[in-house]
Amino acid sequence: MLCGLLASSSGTARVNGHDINHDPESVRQNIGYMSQKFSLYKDLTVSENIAFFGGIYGLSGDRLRKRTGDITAMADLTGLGNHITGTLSGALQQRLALGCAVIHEPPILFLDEPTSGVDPVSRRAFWDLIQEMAASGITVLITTHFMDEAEFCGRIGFINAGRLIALDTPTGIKNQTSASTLEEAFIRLASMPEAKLADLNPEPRTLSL
Amino acid sequence: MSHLQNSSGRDGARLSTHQNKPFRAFFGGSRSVATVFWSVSSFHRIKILLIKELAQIRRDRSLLGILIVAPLFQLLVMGFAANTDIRNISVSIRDNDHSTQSREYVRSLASSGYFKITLLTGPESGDADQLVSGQAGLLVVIPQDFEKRLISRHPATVQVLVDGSDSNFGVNGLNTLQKATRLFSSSLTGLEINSSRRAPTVTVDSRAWYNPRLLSRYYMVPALMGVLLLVTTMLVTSMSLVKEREEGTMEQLLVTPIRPVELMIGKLLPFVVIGFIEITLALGVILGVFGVPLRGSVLLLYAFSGLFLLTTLGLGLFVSTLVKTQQQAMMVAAFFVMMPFVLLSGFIFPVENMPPAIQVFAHFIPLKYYLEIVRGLFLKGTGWHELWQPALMLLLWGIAILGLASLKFRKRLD
Repeated sequence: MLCGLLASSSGTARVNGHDINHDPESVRQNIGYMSQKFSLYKDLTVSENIAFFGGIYGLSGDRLRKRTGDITAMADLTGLGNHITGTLSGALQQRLALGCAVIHEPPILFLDEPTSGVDPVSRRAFWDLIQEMAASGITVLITTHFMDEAEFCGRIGFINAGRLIALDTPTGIKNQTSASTLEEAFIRLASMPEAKLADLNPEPRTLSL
Repeated sequence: MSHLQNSSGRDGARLSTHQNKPFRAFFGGSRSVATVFWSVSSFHRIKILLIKELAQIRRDRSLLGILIVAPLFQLLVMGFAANTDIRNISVSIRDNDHSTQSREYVRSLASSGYFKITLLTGPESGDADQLVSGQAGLLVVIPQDFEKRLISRHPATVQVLVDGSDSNFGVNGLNTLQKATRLFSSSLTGLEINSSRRAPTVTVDSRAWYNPRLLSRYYMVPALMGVLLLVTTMLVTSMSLVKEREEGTMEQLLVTPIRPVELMIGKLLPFVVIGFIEITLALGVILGVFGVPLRGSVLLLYAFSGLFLLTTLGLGLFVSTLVKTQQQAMMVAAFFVMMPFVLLSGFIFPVENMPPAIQVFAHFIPLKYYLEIVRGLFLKGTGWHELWQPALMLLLWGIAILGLASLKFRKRLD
């Protein structure tokens, strides 16, 4: 919904100051998005994919060349430009997808379960990459069901049955529920009665990015 | 209270933009600034999309095969096969007379060039098997008194049994046999049979215009081009769009600033070009291999084919909005579009012969209008004056299906 893939039924939301209902175009220019399927064109080469997504975001000339270099380096794809994307390993495809999602240097990046189906080593490397991005000032929003991954995040929102039941830093949430791990905290919050939840989070529906 | 205020404010906003919402939703850009920049960045995005499409098409060898090689090959094979002309009819003859006249009759049938004759000997009881086994399409029985009746100036009758299981063949075979028999009886001048009773009769001196030898190939081959164009462009368009959805790249495209209308143009334009390439190649085969004359204007043929492409690409887009996978796209296209189109468009059975209710249905088939156009252009050399009506129907059909499909397309994306 925040990426403009679904229409909202009610309410308002702003992404980087742009209203998702009234100005979806500006929202899209300001976000990067990568889903768990790493949606690249598998029958195109690595450079063709980069050139395509760069071009769609309006990059050209020197800026496109510079960003292509950045992304190739970031995704460990140096020298693989002419390889057909579908023949790369899953981890490399994932890194390329991430690169294509941030080719236009968006201030906000949405990652939808980015590490499902990736081996632990690549997963760790991928998280290092995300941490680097976050450190460089990009807001990264990740959905995941791995609680150990959630631990890496600055702020966590728990969503249970379509409702935001908690929103805090990992430590904050653990303190709230006096749990030792996030997994335990989630289980406790999910089984908590309505009134007690409202008590813990007086205003759980505001989320600003 | 605050909740109430909020909702009424939203309704107010919705009311004020209600008028141009569908237009805006489709073409994007509500602000005047966006409208100014629309063209430049839109063309850029469409160009990028086209480059990508071309790279994909070039890389996909099987697609090129489907688009170019298969239609040409089919045109060649089906053009020769789609032949309803009757030649080499197998005729078995049981001659019970064994006379000079009966042998003369058989010889005259043989010399007509239309029949492959087998003379039956042995027991008569097995004669009917000739038809059952398919060894003969016609069974002619010459009666014992054949020559006697002819000499005594009485009309002689031969019995003919026809394999009617293929009605087209049966009718044509019987006609040909009757013609050959008439020729034989008129050649019986030496015997001066019937000369006294033969009164002057009305005779028909017929001449077939546009196709003097009445070759069914002339009629079928240009129409085949229409069918192949429909099948390839519609199917490939819908598959290419569904593929993006299947592989998740559609989702990825939708989070970019690309607009639905740009996406549509970028996806459809390559197939317009391929469609025209197909027409050009097919034209070469039709004129060069089959020798069908193109008596009308080439320019009109291309222009009207362009209108037809509007409808096939619109159908492709429409099919893609109905299905989730490429297999489903194939099934829907085959059963709900191609089969009824090919059978009811007049490609095989003339629309005029159909019951009125089905004729109404046939009038909603764009292929019917395109077939009228190509058959008219090739054989009759008709021009704009005669063809503007089917051309207008194609245009309306194209606009309607493209409009409907793009609305559905847009809705699917939301």
